[in-house]
Amino acid sequence: MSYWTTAMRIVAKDLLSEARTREMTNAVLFFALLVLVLFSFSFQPASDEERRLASGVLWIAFLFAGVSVLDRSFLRERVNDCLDALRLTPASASALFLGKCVANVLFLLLAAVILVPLFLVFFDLSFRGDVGAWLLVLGLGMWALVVNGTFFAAMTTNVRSRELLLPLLLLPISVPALIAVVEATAVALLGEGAMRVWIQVLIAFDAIYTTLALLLFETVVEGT
Amino acid sequence: MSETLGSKALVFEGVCKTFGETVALWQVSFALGPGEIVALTGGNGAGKSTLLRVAAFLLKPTSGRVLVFGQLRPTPDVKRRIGLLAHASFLYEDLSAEENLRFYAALYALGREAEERIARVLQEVGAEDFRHRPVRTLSHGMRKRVSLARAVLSDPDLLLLDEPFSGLDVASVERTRALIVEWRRRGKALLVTTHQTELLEGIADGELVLDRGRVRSWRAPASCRSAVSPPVMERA
Amino acid sequence: MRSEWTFPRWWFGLVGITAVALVLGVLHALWFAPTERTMGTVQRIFYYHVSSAWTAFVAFFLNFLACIAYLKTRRPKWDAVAVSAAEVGVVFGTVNLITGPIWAKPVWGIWWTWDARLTSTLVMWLLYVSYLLLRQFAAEQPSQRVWAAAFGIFAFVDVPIVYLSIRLWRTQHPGPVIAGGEQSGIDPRMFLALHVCFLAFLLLFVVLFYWRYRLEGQRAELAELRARLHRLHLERSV
Repeated sequence: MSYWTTAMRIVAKDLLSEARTREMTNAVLFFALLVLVLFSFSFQPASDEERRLASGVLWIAFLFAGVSVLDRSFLRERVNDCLDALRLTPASASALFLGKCVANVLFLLLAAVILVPLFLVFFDLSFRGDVGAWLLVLGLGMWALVVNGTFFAAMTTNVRSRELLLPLLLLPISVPALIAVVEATAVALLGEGAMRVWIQVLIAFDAIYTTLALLLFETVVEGT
Repeated sequence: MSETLGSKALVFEGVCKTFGETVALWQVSFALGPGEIVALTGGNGAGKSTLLRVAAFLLKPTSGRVLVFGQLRPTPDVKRRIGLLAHASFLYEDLSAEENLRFYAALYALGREAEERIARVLQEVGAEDFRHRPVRTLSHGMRKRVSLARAVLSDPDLLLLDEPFSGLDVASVERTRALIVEWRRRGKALLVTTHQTELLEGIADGELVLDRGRVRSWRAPASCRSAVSPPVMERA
Repeated sequence: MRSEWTFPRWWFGLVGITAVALVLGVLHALWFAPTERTMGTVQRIFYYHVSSAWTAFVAFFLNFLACIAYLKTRRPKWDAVAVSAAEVGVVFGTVNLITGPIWAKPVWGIWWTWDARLTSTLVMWLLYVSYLLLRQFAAEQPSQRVWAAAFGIFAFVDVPIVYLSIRLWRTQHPGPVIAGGEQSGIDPRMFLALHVCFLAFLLLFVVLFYWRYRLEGQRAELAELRARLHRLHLERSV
């Protein structure tokens, strides 16, 4: 069974599981929605400066959503020790990792489909800039969060205070990606400024960390 | 001694497993050949589950060697030949028995014969009637059957069963015993844990008794009589 | 297994040299180096501010190398090097983060500004504090060292990326620059003072690092002795 097919199998399983219960999507959406609503109490962006701030708010909502998705993604594997069962199979660990990443990104993108329009409505905004380029930024940014997040979530799956530890590990590492996506989103909202440099930063970040994660994944989930 | 060892399904040579200060296994040696059943018994905390996990390559021994079909490392081929039934069910709660098996069949690269094998193992363990129901709706006994089906899905030559009888009613116990005997007949090597030793009476070819991680007694199956002899504890 | 844990002879020599270097550093920073034209006496803290940043970076680089070595060889001594380097590095990082605002407030009137260098060192500090927290939370797990080593590699790879991205951000949104170490045409006496301080801090790092590394060794030996005792106890009770 090829590497890619193995990964897709994991994606299919996670999607099927989620379709049955919709537990995660509900929790994630609700959480992120709450963030947007609470922030809209504190300001309504009128000036350009405030549009820039709104960009940050959107990504905070995505961060909350992301950490929720990552947590639950491995909760499913932890119940009934399925992670051990996966390790027993001859499937390559990095293929399993890739599959998990793809599944998590899909869940986040699904959340984005609902969150972004709501965000535009709540803050009375519109994309003045290049939406196509921004969608690329959205995808790259989510991959950046998910690739490291999935790695750390798999690593800390049995550690105490895991819900606290995951964001503690993920956020400092993701600073470059976060700067890039917030800036690029501001550019897209304002319709001025350069997005290209941030896209390059994201591509570099994603390439480096995807490679690193694939290289080291087997090592960190190996038995002791 | 090495050619006899190579033909064995599972060999432990002086295996120790410690977790920091805790000693889970200490100087455990035994062997198991194809077409044989070894009963692994001992009280709670004796190290039976740890032993099975080490045998399945889920844990690495702190010292000593573990050979499965002559291999020291868990290559994909070796993994395909090992089936583990653990305390945890290894099943995804929201998926049906069938969907679970299909998923694992893909990971074990069963390819085209996957559907056929799934149907066969479900029938073997008697889980056909509820194959479409989500695992979370199944009773303990039903789950155990599906877990067992999962363990034999890839038609492994070495079966490691951790307490296969626990929580089962009399009829299910009988069915499981019959399955174990049938698998032995097909040439599989089985290492079965239980603390109800009477259930394996008359079936087991050998018995390994653990006491707090050490081998209390070892009765080797016929093929292994001369091969390995572990240091056996003497009662004071 | 060592039967005694006395410090080796060379260590006392090192401590002596470090003390001398630190004194020299103070002399240079507070005396020999000229007073800066615009900022006055408070500028002298710059020698410690920048030195501690460089030392922290060296410490984290050592951690990075040790993490790689540990993953390759799995020898506990590399893990001991990694944790010791990270801990002492965080200490120097803290010094850097505290001296920054102390310098900034009297000179620029603000405690903090998201200037590229200061922000990068803050993120770097956060990364390694997270590293230490990971070690603490996962302390009882057998795989803890492997995980810490993996995170240490992730963290160090991030350091240059963080710096670049913050610089980029700053070029798009310019702001006040605090830690301006690259003043063109720096007075040679200031240059000397900076490097004397840096050398002194490096020596101090080695002293603290070695002390901490030794502590790891002692802990490991203690754990080993305990385990042995435990096993003997078990053998007896059989």
